[in-house]
Amino acid sequence: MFAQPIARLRGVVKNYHLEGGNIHVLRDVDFSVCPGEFVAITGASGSGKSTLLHICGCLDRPSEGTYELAGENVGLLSDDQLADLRQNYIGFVFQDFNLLPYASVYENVALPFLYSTLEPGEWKPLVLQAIDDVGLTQRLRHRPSALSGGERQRVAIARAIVCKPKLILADEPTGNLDSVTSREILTLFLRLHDNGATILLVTHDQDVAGIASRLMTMKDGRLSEKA
Amino acid sequence: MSRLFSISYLRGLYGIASGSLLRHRLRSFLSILGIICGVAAVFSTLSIGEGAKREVLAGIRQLGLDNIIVRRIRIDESQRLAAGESNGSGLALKDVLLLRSASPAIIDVAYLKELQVDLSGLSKELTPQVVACSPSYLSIQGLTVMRGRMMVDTDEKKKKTICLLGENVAMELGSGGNVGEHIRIGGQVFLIAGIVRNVNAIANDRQSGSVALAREVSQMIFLPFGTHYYLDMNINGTFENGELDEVILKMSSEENAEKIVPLLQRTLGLSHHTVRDYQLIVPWQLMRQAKNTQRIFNLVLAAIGGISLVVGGIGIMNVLLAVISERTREIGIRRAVGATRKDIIAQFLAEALLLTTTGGLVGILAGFGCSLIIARFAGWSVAVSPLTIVIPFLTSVVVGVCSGVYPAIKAGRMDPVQALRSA
Repeated sequence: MFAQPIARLRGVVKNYHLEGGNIHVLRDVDFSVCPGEFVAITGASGSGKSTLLHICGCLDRPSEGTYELAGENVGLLSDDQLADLRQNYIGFVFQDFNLLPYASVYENVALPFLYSTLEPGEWKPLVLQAIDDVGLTQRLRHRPSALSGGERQRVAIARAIVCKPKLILADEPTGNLDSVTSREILTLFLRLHDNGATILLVTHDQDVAGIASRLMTMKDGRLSEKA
Repeated sequence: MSRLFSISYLRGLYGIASGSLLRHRLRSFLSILGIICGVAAVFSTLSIGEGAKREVLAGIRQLGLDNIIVRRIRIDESQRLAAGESNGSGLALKDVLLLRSASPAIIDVAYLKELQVDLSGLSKELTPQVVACSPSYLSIQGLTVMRGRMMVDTDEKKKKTICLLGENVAMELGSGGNVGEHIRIGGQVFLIAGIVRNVNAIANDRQSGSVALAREVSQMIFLPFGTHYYLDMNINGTFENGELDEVILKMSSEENAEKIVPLLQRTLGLSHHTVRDYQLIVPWQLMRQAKNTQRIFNLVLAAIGGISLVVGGIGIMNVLLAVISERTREIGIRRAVGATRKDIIAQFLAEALLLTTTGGLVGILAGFGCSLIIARFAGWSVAVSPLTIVIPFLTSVVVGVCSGVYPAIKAGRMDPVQALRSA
């Protein structure tokens, strides 16, 4: 059913060298995400979920093993090439939204295009479309401080999808939201998935993970598939 | 790389930079205060220096770069006796004859005697300088008449009791100062033959001390040389005060004016039995000295202004480092959405440049204001040339780049994951 994986990790290990000794955050992780999949990774706090997500998002590099994104071996790429990959293939949604507090909804969503080669005439319609997709057209000029938590996360989702990424990475997207708003955001993720988006979501909340089509568990740096 | 130089990218970059600076107006203003002061100091000192230079050079040029001036120096009796010279002192007509024949490069000679005489019809405020001179004095100095006629050789030969008035003297005399009227000078009546056109005088020799190089023509009265023997002078001017006060030699070229100096010194040395009762003034040399002095002056000023700018630059670096630690998470967000290290470096460099160029422009305006105030209240001459604008502005840009590079690189090197995790 699925074509070539969009992301593939083989024997990925991530160690941090601290004064007290090495910390093994990821241990021999083999894992792939195919186009159109909605994968959820659950696990306790400190199990290595976020580190795995950062590696998948090309923000971090594995200590050992290989990571391929859209067929490219990320370990062989330069810092600038990784930035290009992040811009063209990845969309991030964070737990605490990570919006620029002084920028409007429109400016936050348009942020990735500041670093693209597209001209404003080409990307402006895309920005407006992404904002419309998350239902915030009426709040275009508002700053994050004027928005509710759910609306801020919608802005973050709009920013994540505006470049039409191959892979959306969500790190505890409902962690700072109440249950009602969490359901709205999860519904939005499901809608994106129905429209063909590939999503990798990490959460400690089993209910949130339950909406995904594929479920995995992270424990002590090891990843295992849940039936 | 090309993206970094596209118009839309630069517009976006400066939009972010200006937005960031405008959100913290007071902090931005305080951080550029050092640059404003530094640039204003450099601008105003350069404009004062330029004004002083122009004034001094104009004064020297007025003397004529192809002229050599021999001036009498007053010496006391003991100096004269020590030199073994018991007879007379100062410049005399025999010196004029000697100098005229000293070199074919001397194409004209003029001479002048300053007189201290009583005048009638003038207020006490105006004390014109009365001189007896050869007609060539006026022509060598490039003086012309605005009314009446010039002094001619016949006036000197026949000792005609005519005179030429400076413009201010004529104005002070009112209708009595018109051409054709008469004026009493030292008890003798003189016919006013012409009014000398005013020229921008003036300038003292600020390098060598108190010697007045050029004269205030508008406040002078010129008599043909020789007629002064008819006058009742306050101080008799033959032996005690010398026969002449000034001799001007016009050379065939500016270069000759410098080359001939040793010959003139030898000639006058022999004639005056080594008594140094004269002084040789070479405007060409003065011009060169003035330019050298100005160059040193400018360097000192630039160094002082440079120190202020460096201090300003350190202030900006300090503020940028604080801004970066404040906006660490923003750096992480930007890296996450696709910004490269170069993008982050460019962003903070743009902020540094925007701060310093704004400081530079405001500093130039402030410096211009300071110069106007100085010109108005201190009476100093100030002049603005393109360099007085370009030098401080470019320096502020360089300071911006230098002070922004380290914080910008520090921001660019941040680990995106660590940056995103920051509070």
